[in-house]
Amino acid sequence: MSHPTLSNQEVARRGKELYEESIRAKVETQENIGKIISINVETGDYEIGDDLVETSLRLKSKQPNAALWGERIGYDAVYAVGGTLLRTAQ
Amino acid sequence: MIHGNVVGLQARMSLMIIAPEGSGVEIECVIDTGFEGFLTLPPSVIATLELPYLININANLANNSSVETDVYLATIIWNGIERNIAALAMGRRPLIGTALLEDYHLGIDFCEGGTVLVDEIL
Repeated sequence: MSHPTLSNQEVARRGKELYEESIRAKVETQENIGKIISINVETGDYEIGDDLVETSLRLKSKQPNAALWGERIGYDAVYAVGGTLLRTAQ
Repeated sequence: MIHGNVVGLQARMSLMIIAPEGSGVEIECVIDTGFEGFLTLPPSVIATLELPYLININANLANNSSVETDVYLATIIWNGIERNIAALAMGRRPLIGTALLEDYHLGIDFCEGGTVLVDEIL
């Protein structure tokens, strides 16, 4: 069990939708490419940084049970586990 | 300096994970330089240690599929120092990735029983 009220699929769906529709255009700047963004999928609040633990804990300090979705800005996944991260930003 | 051994052509190394209630558990991991994160742990190990849930992410696997993955907060002892790292819940064998090895030297004697060594970069 990951999040108490939202399923994994729902966290992912809301997170991807928020990122694509209202966050990506603001944060996908040259200096942010490759950085981590953690998004609170219930409030739209987000934190950007170099470390997934730090950005996620910053959001959880405001709302301990927050449902969070993470992205690597400008790429199609946060980590490669044997695969390759594909750059999606120009 | 951290030591491990080569077993069946895998570089293996034990990692001390501190469970939230305070006890330390040693987990044998495979060092995977194709993994760019810190650590993967089987979901059963995460459940046993009762690690706190952190976030969900996409991870890209060797067959180029992207999978939605639960990430948990793991407190480990790395080179004598306590660190909080992201542990991806996946697979059956724990993996140590290159994010944990960043700014360290990795040496492997690739023969059965060979030495695995993680050390400061000189």
